[in-house]
Amino acid sequence: MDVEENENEDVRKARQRMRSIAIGVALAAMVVIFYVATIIRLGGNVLNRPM
Amino acid sequence: MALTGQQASLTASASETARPMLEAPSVGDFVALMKPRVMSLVVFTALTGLVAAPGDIHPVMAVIALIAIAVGAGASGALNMWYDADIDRHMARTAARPIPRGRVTEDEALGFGIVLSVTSVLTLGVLVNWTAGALLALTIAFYLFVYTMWLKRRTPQNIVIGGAAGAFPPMIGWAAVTGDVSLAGIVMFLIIFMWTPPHFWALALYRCRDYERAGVPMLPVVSGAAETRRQILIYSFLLVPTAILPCFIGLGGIVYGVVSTALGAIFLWLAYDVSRVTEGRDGDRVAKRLFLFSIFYLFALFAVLLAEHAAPRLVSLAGLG
Repeated sequence: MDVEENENEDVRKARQRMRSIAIGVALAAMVVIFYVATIIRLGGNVLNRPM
Repeated sequence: MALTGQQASLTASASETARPMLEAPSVGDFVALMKPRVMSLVVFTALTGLVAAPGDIHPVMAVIALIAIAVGAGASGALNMWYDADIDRHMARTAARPIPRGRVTEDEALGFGIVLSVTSVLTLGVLVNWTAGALLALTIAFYLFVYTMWLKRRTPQNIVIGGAAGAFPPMIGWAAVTGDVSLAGIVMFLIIFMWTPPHFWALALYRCRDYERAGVPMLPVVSGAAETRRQILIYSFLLVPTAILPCFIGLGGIVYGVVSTALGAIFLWLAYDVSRVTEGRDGDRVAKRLFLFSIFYLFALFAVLLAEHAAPRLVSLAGLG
């Protein structure tokens, strides 16, 4: 019984870890995509400003 | 005699057993939730719409648009698998999907699908334009609410109307560049819309027992194989002229016209064969042949459209280089 409970707990933790990694990777990907898209939209104008 | 949703779920749940979660899901299981083969067709047709559209889009923005469309299509797949988990267990074709196999829980699939839907629509809307974003949202909603939840278990016309969801991607690709929906986008939509019934009914002919066991009222289950063969032939006759339409609105050139006509003739011949050969293994064989050819047919049509529009751009780029 204890062995079975430990296995279930291990599976639950593994699922939680998997979910955390997935959320982290997805967030990082979103940040990169929005950053790149913003730079592209700004284009050369980002340097063209009054000093 | 269409089965109701309640009847279908009763049939499906009769032999349903709770499956233990044996181990944590892998990345591959979540990829499988997104129906990668369907995604490849979605990305390809969206790319064609994007390249064929007049106007310019920065290559990186085009890639971002395609990723958002692909993720949106994947979200639809995950939500579809979440809702259909009960009947997927009863069909050989779908029994190995992550939820029936016990690799992913229904809640995980639902959460995954919702997160992907929201992020893909927001990304496309904010970074590209809101016409494309709204069309992607409409596609996901149509696939989930209209096809999966409403039509699939209620009427043999499920894939006729539900097929619209699969027909939107080239229109989204077009809108990503132009910000609007034009006649060319609608024609590309119509090609996939008309292609869907003969494609899926050919599959349903030789997978009829699967659908019957799961309580899904596909046309062969409800109206019989003879009526299905007749409908395949009718829709094939509607599809082939529709697929030649791009030549008349300036979307397709001479090469497209020749390829579309030649492949359309083969499509009609194979559909006629399906209506003619009705018995036993030969009946299944001709249906399977039409199903496989229909995939090639659609890929070929959009590949030629893509090539016709990409080639001049590549030539001019090379000239500038």
